[in-house]
Amino acid sequence: MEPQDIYYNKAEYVETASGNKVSRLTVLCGSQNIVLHGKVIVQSDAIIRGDLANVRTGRYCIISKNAVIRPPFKKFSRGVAFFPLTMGNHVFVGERAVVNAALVGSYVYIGKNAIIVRITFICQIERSVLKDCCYIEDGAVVPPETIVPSFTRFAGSPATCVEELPECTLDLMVDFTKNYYEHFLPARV
Amino acid sequence: MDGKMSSNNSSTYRRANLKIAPGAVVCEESILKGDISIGAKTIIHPRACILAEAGPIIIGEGNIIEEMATITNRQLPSDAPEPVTVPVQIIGNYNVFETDCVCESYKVGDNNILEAKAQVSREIELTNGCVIGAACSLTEQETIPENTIVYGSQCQRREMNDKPYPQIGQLDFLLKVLPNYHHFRKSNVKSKPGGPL
Amino acid sequence: MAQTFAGTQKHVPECEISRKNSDETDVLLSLVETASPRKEERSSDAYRRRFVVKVETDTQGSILDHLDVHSNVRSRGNRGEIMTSKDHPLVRPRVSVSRIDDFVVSSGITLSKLGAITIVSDGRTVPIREIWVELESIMTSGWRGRTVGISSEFSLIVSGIMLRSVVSSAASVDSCSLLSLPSIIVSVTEVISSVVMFSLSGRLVDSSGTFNVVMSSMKVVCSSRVAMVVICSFVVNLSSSSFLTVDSHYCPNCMENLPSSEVRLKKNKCSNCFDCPCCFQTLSTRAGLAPVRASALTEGEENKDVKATPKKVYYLFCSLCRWSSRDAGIPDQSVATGGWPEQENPHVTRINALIDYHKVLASIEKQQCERKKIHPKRSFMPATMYSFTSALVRKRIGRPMKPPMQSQSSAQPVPSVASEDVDELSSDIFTETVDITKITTLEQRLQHPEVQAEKINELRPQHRQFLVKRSQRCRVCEHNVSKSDLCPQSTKFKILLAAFYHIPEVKIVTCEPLRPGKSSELLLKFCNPTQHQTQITILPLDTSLSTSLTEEKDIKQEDTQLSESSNLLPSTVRQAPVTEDPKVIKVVSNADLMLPHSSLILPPRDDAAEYDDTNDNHNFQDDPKLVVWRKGNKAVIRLHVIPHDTNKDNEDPVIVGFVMQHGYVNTIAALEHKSPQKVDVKVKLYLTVGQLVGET
Repeated sequence: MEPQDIYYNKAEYVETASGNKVSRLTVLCGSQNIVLHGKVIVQSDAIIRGDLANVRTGRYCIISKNAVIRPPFKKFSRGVAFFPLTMGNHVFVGERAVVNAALVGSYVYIGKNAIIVRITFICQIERSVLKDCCYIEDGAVVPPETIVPSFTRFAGSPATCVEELPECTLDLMVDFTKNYYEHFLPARV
Repeated sequence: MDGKMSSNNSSTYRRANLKIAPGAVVCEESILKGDISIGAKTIIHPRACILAEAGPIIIGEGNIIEEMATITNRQLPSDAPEPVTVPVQIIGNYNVFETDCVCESYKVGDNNILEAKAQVSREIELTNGCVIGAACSLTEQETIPENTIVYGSQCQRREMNDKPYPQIGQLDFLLKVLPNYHHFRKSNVKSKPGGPL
Repeated sequence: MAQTFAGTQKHVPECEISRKNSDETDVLLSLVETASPRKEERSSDAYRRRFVVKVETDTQGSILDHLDVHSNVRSRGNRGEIMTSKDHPLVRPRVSVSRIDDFVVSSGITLSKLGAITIVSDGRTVPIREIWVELESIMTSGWRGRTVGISSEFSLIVSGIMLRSVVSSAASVDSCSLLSLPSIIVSVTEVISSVVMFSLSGRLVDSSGTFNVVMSSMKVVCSSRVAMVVICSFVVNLSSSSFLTVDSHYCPNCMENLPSSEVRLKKNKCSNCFDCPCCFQTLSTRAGLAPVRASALTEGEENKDVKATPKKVYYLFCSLCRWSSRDAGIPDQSVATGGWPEQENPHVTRINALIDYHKVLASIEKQQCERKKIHPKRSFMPATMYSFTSALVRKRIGRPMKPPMQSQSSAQPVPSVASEDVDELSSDIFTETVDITKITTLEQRLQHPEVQAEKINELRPQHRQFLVKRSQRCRVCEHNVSKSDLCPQSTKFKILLAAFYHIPEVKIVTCEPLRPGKSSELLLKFCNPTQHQTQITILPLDTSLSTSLTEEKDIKQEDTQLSESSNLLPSTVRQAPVTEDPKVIKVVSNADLMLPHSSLILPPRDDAAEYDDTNDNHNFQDDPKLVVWRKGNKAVIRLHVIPHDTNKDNEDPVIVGFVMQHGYVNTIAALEHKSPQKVDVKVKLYLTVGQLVGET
């Protein structure tokens, strides 16, 4: 299904030189700690908690309305810390999703109302290049300290792997996010 | 008791009913409506929402109320019998209300955790040390026994052997970090109020 | 019903069923040992059929009173007949196994009720003690993401019933063409009963940890003394036609990658990572202080570590449901990794005896096979590994059930005998109040099939199952169509011939509201993913897909594999592959499509064009009636859909079908043919375009 054009109010959105489109109605706490790597869309009422720790996203990330991006919190034997949250390229975060993960790889789809609870790694990306494909379905609750492997689709509460993804997920996600970006247009007045 | 807050927000007359104890951190971007008392060391993140519709809300010490969490003392349904007293919602100490949870419970004890998108309705009393898991929803009237954890899509329950530990570490961290990034509503109660519990 | 079976000898390879009851019902189960296919059929791919068996018991069958078994053995070439027991008292399907699609039990037996499986026979209830399982084909791929790994032996226990088993690691020559994907034959021996059945939903786990098939449902039907059929509807979400082979195993949690020999040894489970027995999430290791003080402090002491308390201990903890190994009374460990006590399987001696016995059988069969020189044509099927059980072989070759060799029967373990002596329930079961939070759920029990724990604190953490990386081969030519990188974290592929990169992509842009009998505009976007210009022609649905490269795909499954036609690759002896029949497309179009008269030319894909704003249209002479929009390798065309009048009241979505013919330059085959081949590929497409709206 070809995505429909989404028209936004030009006055509401700020477009940066690198192509980021960020709504003015978002809550970007600690904006000096938030890095959006270009062609990222942050829609109205999304919350990014840069005040707790650094948040970085790659290119072509889409953060939908009312989504919350919040660095995860971890208790250590001495004190506590918030981990920086890193997100790869071509990531879609659905409406009202709560992303509390430490790492979100690339080519990841996070559905509406999904919850990713503390210190979850959506694909471990430490040693590998940012090339991780997985799909979190709408309303899924990914429990703490879970690692979501590549090419899996997680659903349910607690989320478990329900399916494998096709081998060409990477290109499908690239296609999806690019298409979304292209169809995210200022409303003609 | 009086509106000597200097902040710019709109609802002036409601502010008169907002009591913030010294040491509480209440972000200016939070949404507070009605008669609310907030205890010391309680942290209210931006976009958290506390609505005292039917009656006052009394929040104890050291609670963490995260963004988009909603605590409501909801208007009783119109067909319900007229309550004898004004319904008061009491939240104890060291509870955590995570992102996007909804708490309407009239009584919450201490050390409870409502995880992201958890929902607890009015008729429910949370005792102490309960964990309501992510996206779990409790609606039927009951008292949740101590140290119960509710988790999963079926809202399965267990009694925990490990009590949830009060989130002192997170509190301290937030008390230290948040002032660098946010404007706060000032406390307006001089001495420690006798209010919460 | 007993007399129906009385005559059935154990060694008679086909059995018949069905007595017609005077009043309305067929009593009885019509299934069925299989007759071995005739020789010419054996080698034929077309040997498929469908049969439906209906079973109803009489009134005394208090447990089972209605049961429909639909088996779906595909019939091609009309060689098989379809019979039901009603029409024909004798059902003699020649195929042993198929999938059962649907299975109805009206007075359902749930597993929780089954301390033992109950069998209705002559109105009496007999518990089964043992069921033998023979697996015909090996499953190495996943269902619901779980890895299914099978070593050569395993056993299943279902709620107190042992399914003892031997797995053949590959299908035999003839069976590979006959069998649809994973199928299990359960032969019930030593049970005198007419009907046994249970249905399972969820997963079935073995006791020894080697086998974990997750099935949507599993069914057993047995009749007296005759090997019976269990069929699981096991659908792997895969492209239409390929073999699967497992490349590597890895743990989804710690990402450890192990060679398959070691994996087998470890029973397909990670030795370091554990699943929570309560909620099946990954457990994490927590540090705590020595239990003397820890009992009071638990996690909290982490902060007070500074105090000079000498010993650090570790315990397992589930961060979802807060289960901890202390709940279960597992002693804390002094090292962070490993050392956790393993759970003993109470039936281990029996299982080992059976395994040993079947190993003997396997080796005998292997010898027989070699003697008979039934060398499989598909030699990458490892017939070299012992591949089928004696019973199966005998079935195949039409020999009697009884093993001819005396030597092996002497080694046969003592069969378990069904017994009617069941322990009396203790009386307090009626009086004691039940604390539901402390009793295991069905899922939790199925995770611990060998122990059948009743209380939650008797549960033990389970080793985490491995996931697999797998490669796929074409059914026709055995070429690799996809092969992944061995590294678990990598998402790269060594070979990836997904149709996504070869077949034009079709997307629905918009469709006007659909009204029966009225024409609505449908906009479709085509995208050419290849490096070559292609011409797309839309043809009516009944066009024959005469090219060898026929593909059928659904709008939701556009990633079907291309099957290159050539037969070159030397077959290698590999792991047992999983075969899957091409999916039968059951979609029926219920709308007409006004076909365009002209065709559409799409230029090749150009990655640089994204950064190019010039937007040249290559000056294609487009039919303005057809082409609405065009940019780069993409174009939108306009079609018209007329839903049939007949489905006015129908809730079903409107489906329209057509054949897309596109030029395809086969660069892969070019290695063999020197110059790239150009072929026209026809693809049948069904589009679900939406719901009808009321007539206005």
